[in-house]
Amino acid sequence: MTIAWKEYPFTSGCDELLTPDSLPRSGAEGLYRYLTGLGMEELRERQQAAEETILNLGITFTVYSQGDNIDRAWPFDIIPRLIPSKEWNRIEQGLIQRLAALNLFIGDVYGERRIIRDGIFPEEILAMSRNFRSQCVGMRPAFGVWAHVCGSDLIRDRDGRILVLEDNLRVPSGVSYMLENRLITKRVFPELFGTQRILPVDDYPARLYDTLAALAPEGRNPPRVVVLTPGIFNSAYFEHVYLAQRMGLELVEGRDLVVGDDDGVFMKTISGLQRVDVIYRRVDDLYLDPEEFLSTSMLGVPGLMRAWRKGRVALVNAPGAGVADDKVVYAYVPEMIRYYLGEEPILANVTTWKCLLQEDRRYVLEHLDQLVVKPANESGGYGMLIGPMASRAEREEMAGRIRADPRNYIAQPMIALSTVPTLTENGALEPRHVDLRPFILQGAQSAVTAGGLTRVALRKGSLVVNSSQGGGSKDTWIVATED
Amino acid sequence: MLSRVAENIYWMGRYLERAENTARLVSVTGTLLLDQPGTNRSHGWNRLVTITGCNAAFAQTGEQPGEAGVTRFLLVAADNSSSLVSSVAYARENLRAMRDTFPGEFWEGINDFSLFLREQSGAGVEAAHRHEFLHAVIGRCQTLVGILMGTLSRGVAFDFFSMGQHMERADMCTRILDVDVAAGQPLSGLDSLWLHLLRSVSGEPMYRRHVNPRVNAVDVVAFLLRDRRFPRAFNFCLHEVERCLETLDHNALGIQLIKRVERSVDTRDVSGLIADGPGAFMDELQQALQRLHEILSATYF
Repeated sequence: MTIAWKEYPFTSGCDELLTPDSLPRSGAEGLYRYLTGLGMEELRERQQAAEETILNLGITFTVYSQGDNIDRAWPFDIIPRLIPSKEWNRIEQGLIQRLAALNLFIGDVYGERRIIRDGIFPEEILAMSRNFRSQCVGMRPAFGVWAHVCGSDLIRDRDGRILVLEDNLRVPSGVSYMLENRLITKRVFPELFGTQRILPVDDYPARLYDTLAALAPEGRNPPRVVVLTPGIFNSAYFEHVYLAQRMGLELVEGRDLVVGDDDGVFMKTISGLQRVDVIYRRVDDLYLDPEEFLSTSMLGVPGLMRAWRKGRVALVNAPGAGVADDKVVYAYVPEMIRYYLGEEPILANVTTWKCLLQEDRRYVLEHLDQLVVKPANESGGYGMLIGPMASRAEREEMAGRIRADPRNYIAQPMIALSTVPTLTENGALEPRHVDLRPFILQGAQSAVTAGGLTRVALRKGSLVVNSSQGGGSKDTWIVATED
Repeated sequence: MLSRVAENIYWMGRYLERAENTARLVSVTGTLLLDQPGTNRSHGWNRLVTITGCNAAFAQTGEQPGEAGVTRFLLVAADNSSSLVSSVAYARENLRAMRDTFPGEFWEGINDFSLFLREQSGAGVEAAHRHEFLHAVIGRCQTLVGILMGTLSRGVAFDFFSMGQHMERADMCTRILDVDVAAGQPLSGLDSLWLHLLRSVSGEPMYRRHVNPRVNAVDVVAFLLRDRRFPRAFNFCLHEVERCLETLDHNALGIQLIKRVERSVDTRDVSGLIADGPGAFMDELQQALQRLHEILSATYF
């Protein structure tokens, strides 16, 4: 049985693989021909083979449920999401530009605060920020970079424009799944890699290592770099193990590290204490150092912040970088790009109304039934209002909360996320909504992954791509095009 | 290697060995008691709790003394931290935190073992199915160790695993010798007791071939304490710990202690030991092992 592309049930979103008249988009012709040639039967068999590979390789993520934690197989759909290299090059430039501006902003906020003095960014936002860390004021990390690893979430709207939905600057995760997805796809569709020019993604661990190693203080050569994990109960533990292994680094927990009398950081090994120069920490700010943040934290290292401030150790990302990881601050990124870099933003934000501004607030309150309202500092959809789907009572409750604490809320239009053909549970090919999380590195140099992690909402009509809530993922191909 | 990882590996070795020894102990006690008509069998079972050093923990669980209570406590009780099921669960947890250090088959094997216990451990408490169950448990422990023998590079990870395994094994050796000799009421003839002792460590063929085709008390006790070729003999175990220590830094204290204990085992008068009851000497050996553990812990963990 071949594939009935003509019967593909398009949604209101734009499809990444097909034009509205069911023909392949530019760059996707090869994939389209190949899939058509395989037919549905064979496609389903390959999907099954992929799922078996995932089980055998033990690619898992952890789901919390009532104190228990369960390792689940990573949900994966074999049909890749594809972006032509010409479009991708522009996105890549946009991401580098964006992270450069964000890092200048973070440094400014903990330094001279020019952007506030010049009236571009309101001081009151900072005063209320939950991720501003007074312990970081006056710090000047190497290269002026605070967020060395950033995962930005991109979406494509109905008009086909790529927009930035948020920037994850604290401890973004997902990159190991991007790498594993490619590994699986190579096993499942080996024929395609012969004929298509698909950019490799495999150099990420090496690039990450270079970024980390270049941050070693006092020019120690070779520096000792470690990965700091909260431990096996963390939902991203698989990734921590994976990255440590791929970079050949020690995976440490807080209790493996100690700060010495000279404020250097050491790890406890069977041959005594060994100096550590760079820590790629996958532990949140507030758990890093019980002497300065949550005193009850068992995950951190007492004295770590002191060691960092004295320049004895590099922390990646730097503490306090999360100040720019805030939905209200997000709304100012285009202004930051103009202010710090004197350039026009290459990538646009989703239109965002800041309830802090009187005019915006009035608009939001009048159009609550059309907008999505989000609190500044929550993630995973908590405290959010989806206007068109909310009841009158829910909307009124939200209106009350906005009036009481306008700084804490922003609003955005409902966006029909783009779709990619996906094999459904009953073996049909239907559109499912996707986003894209590329990973951007900044240090001595900047780099972006070729593509990123495409997350897909596996439930029909759903816009929720989180793996804990029925989301899965796809391999992402940047395909070299002739022009 | 990180101290935490080394400690995890060491304990994983101990837990796996403890699981196997617990299965051996229960299995051999069951068979031995069947050969002692007229004795109080319940008493025989209750002594197992003493051997494993769990009297206080047993009292706390509220289990009744006797066959059912003791086997449940030693094999399946989740609130007994040394039970078979707990030992395997701990070994798996330890491995989970350092999966990257070990071959994939080892993780699969231990996972499979946990699933087996979840489904089958009830059988260990029923006298009719116990033998089959314990036999399978011992086989799985041996398979897991076999995977490491066949796939893990000889290096620090292997050595810490081996040290844990042999520390635990040496400890168990002193415990079976202590109890069985003391409990040896010559009702059914002592020979059967010594034979069971040998069988509990799968040592019968090795003993008959290398020591004496006839089973007698002095030779068996000497074999189990001193033999340098039999892998479950006390001095063999200590020697293996010593071999591992030799590859590590800061090993002087540990090696010194091992040499001293080996000497005292080699020079001990075995017939006197049996005549007077071995309890005091076995306590002494257990304390020496405890000291050795403390030295390892202070030096490397």
